[in-house]
Amino acid sequence: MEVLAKPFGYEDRTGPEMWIDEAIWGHRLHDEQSPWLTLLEFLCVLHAENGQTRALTEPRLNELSYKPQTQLRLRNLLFNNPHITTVLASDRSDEVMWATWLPLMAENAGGLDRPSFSYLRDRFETFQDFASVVSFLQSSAIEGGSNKRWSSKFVFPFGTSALYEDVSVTATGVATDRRFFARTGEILYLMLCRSRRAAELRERLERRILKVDAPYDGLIRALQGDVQFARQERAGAYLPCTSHPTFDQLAEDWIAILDLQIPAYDAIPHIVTMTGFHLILYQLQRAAEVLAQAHPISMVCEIVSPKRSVVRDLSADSFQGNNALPQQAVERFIREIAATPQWRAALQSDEPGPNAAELLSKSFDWPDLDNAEEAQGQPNELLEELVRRAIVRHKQHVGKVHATWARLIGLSSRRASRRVRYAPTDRLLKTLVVCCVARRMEFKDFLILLYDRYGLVIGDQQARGFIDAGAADQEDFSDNARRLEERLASLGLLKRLSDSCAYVENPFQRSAQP
Amino acid sequence: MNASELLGAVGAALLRERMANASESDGLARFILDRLTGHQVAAVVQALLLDSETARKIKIAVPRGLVADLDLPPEVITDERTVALRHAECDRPALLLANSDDDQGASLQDVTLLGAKQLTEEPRLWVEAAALGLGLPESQIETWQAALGGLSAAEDWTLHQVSNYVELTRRSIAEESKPLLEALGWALPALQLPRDSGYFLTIRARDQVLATRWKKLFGKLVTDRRPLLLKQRPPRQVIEAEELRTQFEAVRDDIPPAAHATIEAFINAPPSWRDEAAALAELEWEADGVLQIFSGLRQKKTSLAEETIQFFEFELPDRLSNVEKESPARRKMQSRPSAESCEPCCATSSDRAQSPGSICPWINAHAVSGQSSPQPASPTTRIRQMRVAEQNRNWGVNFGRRSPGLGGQNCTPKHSWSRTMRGFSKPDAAPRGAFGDHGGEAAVQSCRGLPFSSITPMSRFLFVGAVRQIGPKRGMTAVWPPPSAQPVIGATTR
Repeated sequence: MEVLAKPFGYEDRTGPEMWIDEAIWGHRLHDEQSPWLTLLEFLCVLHAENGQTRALTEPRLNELSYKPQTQLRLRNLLFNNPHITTVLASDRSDEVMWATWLPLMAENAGGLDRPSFSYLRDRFETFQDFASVVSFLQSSAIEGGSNKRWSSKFVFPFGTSALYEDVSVTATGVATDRRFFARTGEILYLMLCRSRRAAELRERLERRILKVDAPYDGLIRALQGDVQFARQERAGAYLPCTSHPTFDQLAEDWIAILDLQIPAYDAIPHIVTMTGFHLILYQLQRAAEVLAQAHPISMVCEIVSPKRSVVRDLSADSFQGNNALPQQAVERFIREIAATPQWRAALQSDEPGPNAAELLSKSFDWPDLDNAEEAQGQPNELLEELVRRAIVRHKQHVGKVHATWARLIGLSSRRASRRVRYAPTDRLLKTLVVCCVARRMEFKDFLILLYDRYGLVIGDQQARGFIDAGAADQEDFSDNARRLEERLASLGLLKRLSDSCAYVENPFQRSAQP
Repeated sequence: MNASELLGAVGAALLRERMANASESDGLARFILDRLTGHQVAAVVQALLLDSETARKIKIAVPRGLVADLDLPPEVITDERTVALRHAECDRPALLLANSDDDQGASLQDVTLLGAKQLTEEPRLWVEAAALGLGLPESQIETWQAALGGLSAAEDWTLHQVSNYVELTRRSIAEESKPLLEALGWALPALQLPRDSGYFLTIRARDQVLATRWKKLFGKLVTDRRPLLLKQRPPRQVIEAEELRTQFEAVRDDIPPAAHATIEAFINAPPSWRDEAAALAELEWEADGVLQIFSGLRQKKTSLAEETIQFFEFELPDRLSNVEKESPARRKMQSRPSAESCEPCCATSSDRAQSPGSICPWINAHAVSGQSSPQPASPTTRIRQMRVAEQNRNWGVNFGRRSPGLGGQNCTPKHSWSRTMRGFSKPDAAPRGAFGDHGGEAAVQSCRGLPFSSITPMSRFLFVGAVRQIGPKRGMTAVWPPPSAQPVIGATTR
């Protein structure tokens, strides 16, 4: 398994306390950064790098450094602007409303050195027009309805003006605390940089997103005024492998979606879903590589049935098994050091404790050698303590990625059961069809494709291992596939032409020429 | 007789019965072995061929792709498509085909199906086949049939599991001369359940022929013990390996040394059904001390507050603000105040009125009124209120034997009636308890008739609390039970 060296060119005083999850999956996967926020962070990086004419290219591994937009005026107007409602409700003359609102806004705005919004009077004919635009952008915002701080709410990415990084705005100023842009978007950017089809993808992203003069983006520009950038470059991104099958498949799926004849803002939700799905697969596959698992990752999916079934139990077992993989990988990754010659040499040295501590510190950034209390102990005690600490740390965020993201993209559900299981929602099924079916495809081929590409076990042909082992009857999975067929038909994604001929159709390619 | 032969015998017997029931006027009797594996199809066909009389009456044509290399005679294998054979001329009264659910599957659904479900739901045939040569008395045969009836009613089992379970039971009786009830417990590993030879010995003689009784027992095994082999507590909370390790160390001396290696391998293995779990299932539940590994694990108790937070985290993330999240958590902290901290200042109501600034949450009237869902004033009140809640649950039970002349009457059980009457004149008084004097009821009132989405998370939380206290029935009928709210209710009232 490939693990690139930790980048040393960048010093981060608040960086990771140990280098274990990061070494396996990158710096870093984070459960609180939803797939939507991951895409937004990615677009931020992409836009910044595109400005430097190096979009989706990585001259040297793990040396990404970019300066994102902050667009604080826009964010204040949209998410830190409580007075607009009361001023609008006063229903006074346009002039009075502007005159009332502008000083209130200037007083309330955060993170701006000299807050002034008077430019807006020249850009909107009436206060009412201005309020309508604000209301529209608020209603289409990402995380707009959540209880997150105002500086962690985002405008839908209609265009490049809507891209900005997550920050913390306090009385002392603006800081990047990586609360919701926790670098998962940077990982995504590096993954796509290292995919085989990066150049093709770059061309499509430029054409569909970066260089489009979208009308809604014009509205955002009008609110924001001049572009605001972060003061410092953001560096420190790290992805541990130079290539991976997931990177290539991810790029392929993005290209398939971007090639659809639909507006970019309709394609983006599908991209978000597939991104979340691939990041889950990436996490599981890397864990399987650490554990040297012979069989590929699979996910038994129950197409929700009215009553409990064998497939439901297998699906829940599959979810539970996969969910436990990353933690097992962390433990194995650490314990592998005990089989190295360096560890054996440390054990046989005159001072096994300090030498083992030094080796652990060099390999995993723990213990802190300056901290005498932390670094003392026998080698095995140190190793056990490291495993314990690493697992506690892993469980806080990285260990939750699979469960949290699977729910967010509609891959898992607890519907009609107390156990979480893989049970794809209609939204995910539609995305899979849109992404995998060029025009139309026979239903059974579709099931095979889902298994080969993503490890999704739905029909009896894919569940052969379970059937041969006696864990399920063929009819259990056969009925499961039949339920999927009915679900797709009810969504308008499948057409049955005769008893033996059911086709899955891509709704956005239906009218295209074969 | 192995499991495969047993399965074949059952399939052949089922076919014989179906053929016997068909009249000649019905024309050709067409059967199809529906979505069985090649081995299962081959087992049924071989069993049929052993019965020469039946074999003469039935034409067998199974696809070569399904049973290749399974030693079936060439005359029962076909290269024709099954749909073509379905309506082809047949010189015998019956035709047996096999469907592997390829592209013809949908076209073959109208033929009489013999699939896994049809086979597993025939306990009589399984017992007839398995009891052959065992010399079991009729009463034991009946018991065995009832057991298998209860088994299939309790859970969805695969054909492989059922055939292995019956075969293991038979083997235990035939080779180890075990009584049937013991053999049924010994064979449980075939169902991915821990072996427990004594589990069924407690069933009373008159209940042994009741399939419902067996269903209950098997259902309990599935609910309580199967999750343990997957390292989950019965409510499906994950059991950490460290917990098991600690527990094992505590009871190691009480467990036979021969079982230690198996148990340690199970503890170190990942949490899924694998060889280590299967090996543990082979150990006896009590005699080998498997019970002791799990008995010391305490179930993580989840409070209503925690369940509510979990619900919102899963179903509606970001819906609750930090303040709202903290509120149930704080309530959880306050739900069990220590007696010492409250006793000195909870003496009388006048004390309470006189000490508005007290630090005790139970008596500080001002603090209580300021809470979003105030706690009742004193622990004593809480106890009385809980009693009322119990009365409310029992209220209206029909105790027919008390007034035989009137055919029964609606009343409250005697053991609590008098106390209720003495203490509380209105048994249907507003329920009070952990959610305060009026918090829950107010939530019920405020939620009445509103759509789910328009109710604030906190009101929903209070509503659920109210429903929990006044009982699901009253709670559900008192206010709206929107379908989308049911997961909350289900989650908190179980």
